[in-house]
Amino acid sequence: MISLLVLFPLIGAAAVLLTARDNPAVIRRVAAWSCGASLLLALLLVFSFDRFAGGVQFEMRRPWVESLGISFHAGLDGISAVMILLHGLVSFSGALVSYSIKERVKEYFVFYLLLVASIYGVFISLDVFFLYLFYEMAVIPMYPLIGIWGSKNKEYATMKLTLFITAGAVLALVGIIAVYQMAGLKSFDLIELQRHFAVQPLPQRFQKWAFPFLVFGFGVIASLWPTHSWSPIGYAAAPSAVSMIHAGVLKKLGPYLILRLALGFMPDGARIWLPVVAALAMVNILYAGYCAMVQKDLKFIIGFSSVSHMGYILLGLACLNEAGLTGAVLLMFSHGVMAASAFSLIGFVYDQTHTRRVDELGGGLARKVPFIAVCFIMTAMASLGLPGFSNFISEILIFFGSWKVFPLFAAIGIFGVLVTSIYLLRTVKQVFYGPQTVSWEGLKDAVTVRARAPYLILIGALLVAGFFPQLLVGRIRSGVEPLVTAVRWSEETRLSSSSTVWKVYGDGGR
Amino acid sequence: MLTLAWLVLFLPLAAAAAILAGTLRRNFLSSALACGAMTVSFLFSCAIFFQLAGRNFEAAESHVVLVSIRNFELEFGVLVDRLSAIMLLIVTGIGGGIFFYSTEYMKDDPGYSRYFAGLSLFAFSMLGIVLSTNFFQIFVFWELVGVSSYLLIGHWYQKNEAADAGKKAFITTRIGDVGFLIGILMVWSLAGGAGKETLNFGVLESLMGDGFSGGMYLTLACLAVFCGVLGKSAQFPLHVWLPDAMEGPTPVSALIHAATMVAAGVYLLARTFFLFVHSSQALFVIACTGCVTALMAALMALVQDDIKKVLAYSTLSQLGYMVMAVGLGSASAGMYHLVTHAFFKALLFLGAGSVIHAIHTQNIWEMGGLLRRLPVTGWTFLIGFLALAGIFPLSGFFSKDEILTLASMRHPVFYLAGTLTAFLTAFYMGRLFFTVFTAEPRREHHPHGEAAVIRIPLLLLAFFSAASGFFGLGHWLHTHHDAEIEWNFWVVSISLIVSLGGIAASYLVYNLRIPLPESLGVVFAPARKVLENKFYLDDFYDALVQKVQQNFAGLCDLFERWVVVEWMVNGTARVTAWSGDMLRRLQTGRIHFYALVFSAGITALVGWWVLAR
Repeated sequence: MISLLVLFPLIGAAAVLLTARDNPAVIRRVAAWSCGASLLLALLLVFSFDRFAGGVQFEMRRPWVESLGISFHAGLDGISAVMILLHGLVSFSGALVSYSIKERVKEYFVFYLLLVASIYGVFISLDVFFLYLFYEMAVIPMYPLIGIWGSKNKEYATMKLTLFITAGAVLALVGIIAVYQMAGLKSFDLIELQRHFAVQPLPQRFQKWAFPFLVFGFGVIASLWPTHSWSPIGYAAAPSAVSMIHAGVLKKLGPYLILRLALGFMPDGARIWLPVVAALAMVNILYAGYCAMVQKDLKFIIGFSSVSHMGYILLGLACLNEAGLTGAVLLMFSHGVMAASAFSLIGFVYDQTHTRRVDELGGGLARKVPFIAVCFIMTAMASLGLPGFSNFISEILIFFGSWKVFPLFAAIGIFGVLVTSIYLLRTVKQVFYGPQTVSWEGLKDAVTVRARAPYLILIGALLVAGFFPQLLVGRIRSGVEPLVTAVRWSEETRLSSSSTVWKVYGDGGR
Repeated sequence: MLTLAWLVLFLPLAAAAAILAGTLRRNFLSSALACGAMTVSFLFSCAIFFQLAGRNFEAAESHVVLVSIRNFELEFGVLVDRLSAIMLLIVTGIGGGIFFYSTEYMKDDPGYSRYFAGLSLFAFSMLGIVLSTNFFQIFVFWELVGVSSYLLIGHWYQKNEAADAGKKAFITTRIGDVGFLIGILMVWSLAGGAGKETLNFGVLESLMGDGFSGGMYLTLACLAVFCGVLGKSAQFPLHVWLPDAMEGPTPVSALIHAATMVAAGVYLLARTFFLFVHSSQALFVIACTGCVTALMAALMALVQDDIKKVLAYSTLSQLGYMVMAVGLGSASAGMYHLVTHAFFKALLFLGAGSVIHAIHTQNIWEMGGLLRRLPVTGWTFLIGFLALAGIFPLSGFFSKDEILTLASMRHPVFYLAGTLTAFLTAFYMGRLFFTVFTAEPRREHHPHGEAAVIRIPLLLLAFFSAASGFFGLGHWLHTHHDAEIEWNFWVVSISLIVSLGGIAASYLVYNLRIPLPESLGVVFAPARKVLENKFYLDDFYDALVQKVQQNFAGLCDLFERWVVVEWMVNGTARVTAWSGDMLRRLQTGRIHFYALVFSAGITALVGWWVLAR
């Protein structure tokens, strides 16, 4: 059943291919329905996921290349369950937002649905080969989607984005193959590998050099400083729905794969290297926050903001304790939904005004487009960590988690929240408040249910998760616990704290 | 009783949600929902109070677990005890009055429904702070108070000033919240050290019982928590948002200044006083902050021309008193003044609102002789004024003198500053009252009358402003953490004389308009300039934002553009392209060139092989 998540969008893509080019209405509807079907299935799976049992659920397995130990092995644990929910929400909203695409509608939706399918594939795969395959597959449709349907500087942006992500993937591949060889199991099966490493962990010296390949390779897509520069310009050039998927979901593949592969395989390596990641994450938070402060293009503001927020996710990962990891995964969800909402709202305004520059928009738009203004303000509030939205709970968990391990970083992170509120409130003020200086005759608010649906779905999800955080936290916890156990075991039996890069992991932690 | 407390908390939120979801275009229904929810909350609060009285004010709480992670839980609940019961009455009672008053004041506003949704959200947030059982929850509502104030101060968002003021209030208080959250984390560590990782007030209090010593870490934790108070209760140096917040509708100002928001800081201090009593250094810093704020704000109030700004600075100054009282060792004295102040400050703001509503100006020099035209407003304003000035037997007299007596027991500097502030308070309030209500008008006005929904809240508040000194609240709020305050005849009489002196002086200058010697103006000109520029603090912060922050951000952006993108990324691309280009040139297609390179290579290899041996 779980493979239907991937199949629905694939079937959708095939159906779109078979539809006549001059019938865009049908094409759009097919795309929206197939994404919607996956979303419904994702909802069903997430809520039937038994968080008390934990572990991997809804498993399925089909052997493929037996000689190399490759099989199509799919399933969900607490972490990936929350991730498919994120992807379902964002990809469905993205399909609705894509109704505004007017050129080459057919090709657009084929690529879009392929992208959606591959990302589902990454989240459900429990086989490292397929995990990597889907990951690379996701990059391919991204290239034409930005290159053809993008705006301003799109060739440069799409080239840069693709090269960066591919380079990161290659780096990570070296690490993956090394792990495969070192394990000597002749198997790419994630679960089998993890089970094996629990009994017979990889040698410390190996972990010490192999871990950076994985963490920095996947760090590229998590926009870890200084490999983040593809991200703001990539989002700025991409069409709305692609920015949504990219900032919302694809970027979360970085921390997801770090959790899954790097942390899951090499807890010793994690303890050695993650303090470095945490330090770089601080640069992410502050540096990108300050960069956002002087941007004039709305998408660049949100782009840098997302680079900054990835810092919190990475900080949460680096804590290696339950609060931090849970917070990080919840923030992956919350920030993903929030970023998708922000990019779709900016796209709404851009489609009608053809500018995203704060100074050209001229302010006072709240009277002109009240619904969009309210949604944007709520999105901004979610982003700056207002209680009621799940972003707040995530950040609080990350701060509690990191306080015991990196108190200084936690304090810097808290300060970073202030920086976020400064540039976001300034943006809100400059675009939506004050007197209107440009009349924007043609600008119309979203009034129909279909036009409003994407924003209501995304903001609603943040509110539900914010008011009832245990819904997601309970599931995430069940996925995070095995990782924490492995780290704690490594701490107790292997590395003493003095041999880590910095002597930050004291006894008081976890 | 606890069920009632849950209802009190969530009714205003339900009203706000219902307004947003359904009645944005039905003004009457929106205000009815908001006022109705508030009225019911008030009635329930009364019920809670009496039930609690029946149980001899024994604290009770219930909570649910919002998030649970191995041995660490984020709780959300309601705590009912003496402190929260009285605050519930204040918030729902005074708040409710302001809600009803608003129905008239905001009558023709295009954002009427939005306004009532905002008010309800504000009330919900404040009730959440009051009922909080733990630090996490209080922080949640702390932030929600911030955002409600942002929305309400910026209600007229199409005015640049209002939009900026809302933003300033939110960001300034958030600066304090950075410290507050760090403080919470520190308290959490302290609790972990004392045996249990908890943020629950009750558990913390029992963990940190008598003789608990947290040393320097505790002092730092207390000061970090106090940062939150600096922001919300607008203490020096984070007080700058409060005067600007006057851009909001006047009932909002009344709400912020009396029942919600600024009260939150003092309430937090009282609620967590069990922590502060262990650190005399932290208390000393708090007392100094309060003292500086009280005096500074009173001085700035002397030169304001806007009726609301005078009141805003007087709030700052009175908050300074409350914070100073806590710092001097008596949270109950601070809370006592908070309660009486809530009555008379709400009264004064609603009175000011009535004046503004009637004659459409805020400049006091354009007013005059309004006592005859707006009798209810004028006489109730007089009561508020005398209560604020601390004249016997009005409520302010009792609560303020408790603080002054406490100050006299501690250090003469605090006492002198407090007494000087009392004089200034009487003087600037006299200046305001006489100019607006009794002096000859400088311009003709034809004010329209006072509606019933405006008169009734004024009269009720006037009654409580006058009488609440006799309820014995100070004694009733006293806990074993608070310092004992002994009534001192000399302190009381001196402060009364000083206040009467201030009023008399202002009567001479502003009602009788006794001509002052020219030289006086010349002597005070520099001081006046400093005060009018608010001690240049706003300019300093502006410079900090414009110069330091903006330049730093610009620097980051330049680094991004030139170092990261141009040098590192595009540089790599250029090097790749260049090396490709170079390598391409090697592929000439000429056989003799390849032969040359080939033989050169062989020669080099052989040579190296021979030499290496």
